[in-house]
Amino acid sequence: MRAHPITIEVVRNAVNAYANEMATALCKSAYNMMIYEVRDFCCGLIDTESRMISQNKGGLPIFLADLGIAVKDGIERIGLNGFKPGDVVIMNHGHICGQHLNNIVIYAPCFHEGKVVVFAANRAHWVDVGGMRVGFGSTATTEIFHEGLQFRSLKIYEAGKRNETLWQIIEDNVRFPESCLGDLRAQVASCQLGVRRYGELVRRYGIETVQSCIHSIWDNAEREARAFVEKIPDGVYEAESFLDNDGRNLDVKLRIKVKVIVDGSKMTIDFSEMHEQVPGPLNSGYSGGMAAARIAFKCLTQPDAPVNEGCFRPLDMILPEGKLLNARPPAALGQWSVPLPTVIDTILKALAPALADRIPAGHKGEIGGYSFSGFRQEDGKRFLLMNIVGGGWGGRPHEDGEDASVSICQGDVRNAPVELQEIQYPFVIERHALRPDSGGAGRYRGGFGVEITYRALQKTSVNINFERTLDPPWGLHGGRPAAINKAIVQRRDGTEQVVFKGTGIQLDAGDRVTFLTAGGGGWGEPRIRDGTAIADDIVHGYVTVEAARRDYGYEPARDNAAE
Amino acid sequence: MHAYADPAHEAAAGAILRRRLPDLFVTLSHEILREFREYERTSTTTLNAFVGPRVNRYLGRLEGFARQARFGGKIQIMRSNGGTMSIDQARREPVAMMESGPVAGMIGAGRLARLMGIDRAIGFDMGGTTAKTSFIIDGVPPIEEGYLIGDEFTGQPMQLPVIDIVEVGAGGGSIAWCDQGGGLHVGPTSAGAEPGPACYGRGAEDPVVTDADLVLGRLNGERFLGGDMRLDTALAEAAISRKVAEPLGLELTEAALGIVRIADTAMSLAVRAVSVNRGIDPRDTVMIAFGGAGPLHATAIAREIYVPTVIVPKLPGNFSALGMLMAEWRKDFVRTLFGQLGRIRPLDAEHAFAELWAAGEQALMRDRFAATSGKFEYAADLRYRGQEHTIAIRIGRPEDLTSATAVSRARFNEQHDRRYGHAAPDQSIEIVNLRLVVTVPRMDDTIGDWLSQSWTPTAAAEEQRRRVVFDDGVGPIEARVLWRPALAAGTEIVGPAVIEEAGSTTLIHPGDRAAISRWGHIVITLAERS
Repeated sequence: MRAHPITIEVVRNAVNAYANEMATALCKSAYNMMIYEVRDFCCGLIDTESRMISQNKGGLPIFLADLGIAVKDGIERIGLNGFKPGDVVIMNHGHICGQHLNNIVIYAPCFHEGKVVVFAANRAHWVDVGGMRVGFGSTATTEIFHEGLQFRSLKIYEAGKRNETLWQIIEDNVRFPESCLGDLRAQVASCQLGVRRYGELVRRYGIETVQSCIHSIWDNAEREARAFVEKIPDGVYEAESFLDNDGRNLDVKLRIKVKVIVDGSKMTIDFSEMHEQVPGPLNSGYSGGMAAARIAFKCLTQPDAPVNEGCFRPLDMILPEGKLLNARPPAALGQWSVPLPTVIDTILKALAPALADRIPAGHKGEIGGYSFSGFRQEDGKRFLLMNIVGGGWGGRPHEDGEDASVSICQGDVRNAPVELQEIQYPFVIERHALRPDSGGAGRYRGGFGVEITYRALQKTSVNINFERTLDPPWGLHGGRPAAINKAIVQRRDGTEQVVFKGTGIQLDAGDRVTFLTAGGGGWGEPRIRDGTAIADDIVHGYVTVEAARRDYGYEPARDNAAE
Repeated sequence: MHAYADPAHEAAAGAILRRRLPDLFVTLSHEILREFREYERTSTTTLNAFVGPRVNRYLGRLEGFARQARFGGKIQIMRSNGGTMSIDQARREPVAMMESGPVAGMIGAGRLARLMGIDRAIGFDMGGTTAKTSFIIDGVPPIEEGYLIGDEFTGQPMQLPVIDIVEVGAGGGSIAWCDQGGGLHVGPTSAGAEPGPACYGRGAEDPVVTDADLVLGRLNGERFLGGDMRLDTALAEAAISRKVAEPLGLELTEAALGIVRIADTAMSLAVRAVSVNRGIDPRDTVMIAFGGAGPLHATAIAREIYVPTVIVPKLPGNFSALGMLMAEWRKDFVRTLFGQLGRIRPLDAEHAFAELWAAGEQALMRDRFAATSGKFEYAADLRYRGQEHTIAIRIGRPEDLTSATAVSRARFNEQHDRRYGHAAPDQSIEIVNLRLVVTVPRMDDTIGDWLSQSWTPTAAAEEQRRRVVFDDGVGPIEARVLWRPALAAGTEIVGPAVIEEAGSTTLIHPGDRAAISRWGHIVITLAERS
């Protein structure tokens, strides 16, 4: 039975609206900045076969893959008949979810006529889950047990009644219990909202109609995706890049090798030649590889359409166990997302010869997070400042790259406002600016990275975690690579030290840290860049005269200079 | 940085600029917005500075003309928040006028929806360049804390309260054009008032939606603007033939119908979005259509998205302007007041109330209202400790924050539960801001009252007949042509029909049933689609 076209349209918009509503509810009542400012969360509806019906707009693309994986484990362990109305499940198991343990999945079943018809689910980044280090950016861990508490598909509410034992365990084993439990409450409520809304929908239209609509929506998304893949010439496309190291063995570069096989309307992404899993925390589980493959696929095929299971039906993945993106337990996963922007960029680079008019040069290629932590002078209370800053994106076939934007994995993740950081934490931010000369030269140059300087007002420590310093964001078709990421720690006495990766660097009052993020690579030969565009960049202070001379062979006209 | 809390540096910089460059339009962030988040505040302030000089000159001229013509009343300017402000305030804070024209129409539509007992209404306003739509629940169009000028990816944030309206670039003046591949497009470029549609006879060569409506017989060239302006059908036909029909190898009627179809589709998507994006089925709503071109296109759009009923209010062509005359003077104030609910120092709370009250009184006096004429409504932004986002909860006096807080606490818990689905009654609640909204009720609400005044025909006119194209493949069919001012309350009309009046034309498709309500509004019940 095919539903009425207008009903399909209503259901399509309704399920997306519910996911967005869940996201608003979570975001507005959350207790930690990673959720309410950075938007490190996702919300969605998952069917009883763990397929994605809808997911909220915005938030993190790296969560494209995996709400289903988390729910699937619960369905297998608890059984569909083992759920009761009012149940809420908590899940962050490292091996199954494949992400750092801070990403907590909460979901609740929606019942209709006595049967589970859908799960409303969300995942959000808690500020802490115990473990040996606080905040992100630590490279100290070598196995999952260093990284905190694991919950594998446990009922935190059973038929509406809170599991006090589990609640107490959380309260006693995380560093910021008020924040974590507040976020947990917000997540539970967001799921309950999704459950309520979906219940209204199936009561209004009937479960068969709604399900038939959902299948039509999936089929339609699949058709659109296939139509795009059809247009790519069949063939095997390969590319390679590398990451600096895993933070433990500093001399070992990590090989990122991908093969993209296009065959008719089907695309297979083969990660078999990817680097092996590593001792440091840069590993992810299977869902890490899946997220990278799905993001690359989605932004090629249907960049504007809402996301659902059907979008990915034409996509296959080859990913053997033991690889960086599908690590065996008890691998450390603390920085699971760090390799993913580079993996996605490498997939796109592989396809550049086939899709010359669509593929941009390499972007900043890392996650760009850092964290400060310490104990407040006034009251001895622990604090944790986390922020994510953008960098440049690659030049494109028709225009320059975007400036100061987060990586392709982070969607509309935002940097925290300077004012908010200064209100809440003991720092003065002395400078926050675009970084001159950071974009790779090209006919269409790469976008610019960012520089931001913190002055500490008291004793504190900082985690710095920069990547892609040995394999900078690349140019395409003759474009140049971009400036690399680095941090400069400047002591009160004026001594300076350049840092790429560092965990728990101690700072005293008056010490400064400046983060300089990478730009994007250039697209096309710099020598054929439009002269007015170069002059414009110089006038705005984006490109220095010296760099313009060196990279573009540009000589400012005398009369212009005199103006 | 942090000028929302302490504007001393900004004020000093502003003072120097204003002293040294007295002719410069200077705008300071704390004068526009007293909220943290440097990006949103910067963007809003920059927008104010960007539009400031031009709007300021324009409003100055407007006031000059009005005074020259011996206008002795107060000149009020519509705000984005659905209220009005004085012209002086508008000259300082022009960014607060953003989108205010469409807002006024939605205020009017909200009033009408409440009067007619419609809880879910879609306001639809189509003019010359764009169509706007808003979802109205219980008579109130939703207010957003801010909005993006431009699309959601590249738009500039404007962080002042604004009525939530979706806009689409299709209006009566939208130009129809062909691309090289043989595709027909309508808009987003508009012919504007000059040269206007080809049929205005002012030398325009590009055909627009209005030309197509005329060619299809939907508009009456002899009775446009009540007969004050003749429309030249031959010119409209020539423009459509040359620019659309010939390049695409279409018949004239086919081309005209194509233009209207494309415009209607673009508008349907926008109108559908405002309801279904909220998860509300358009079949459960009523459309209130106005603007010069709204009633002409509303029934086709409503049918497209299964809205069963369309209401065309009295004087639809002037409805946005009338909406302004239903809006109240309004100003919003905010002051940071940080503390714990029930534990805040009474002196601090009293001080904040006094400060806001004084600011409200001052604003009233500056706009020459008596202090006693204002309605003062206070609210506190509350949150559970540790949260960031707040909810504004209505309060009456300082004691609601200091001592007898059970009511405020219960209100907050209830609101939190209603909005987000959970509450934590045993957690401590923080106060972040104190807010004040001052409104001045209209001295006379003539226009509001007029909406529900009994309707009596104001003119007599003979019924006419004309051939009109409604649909593809059917060709022109004979339709009744009625003069709206002559129709008595209770009149029922079954389409095909055209109801004409001075500022607008309502199209009744075959099978649709229109009734003149006792207040004179047209209520159209759409025929079931086969």
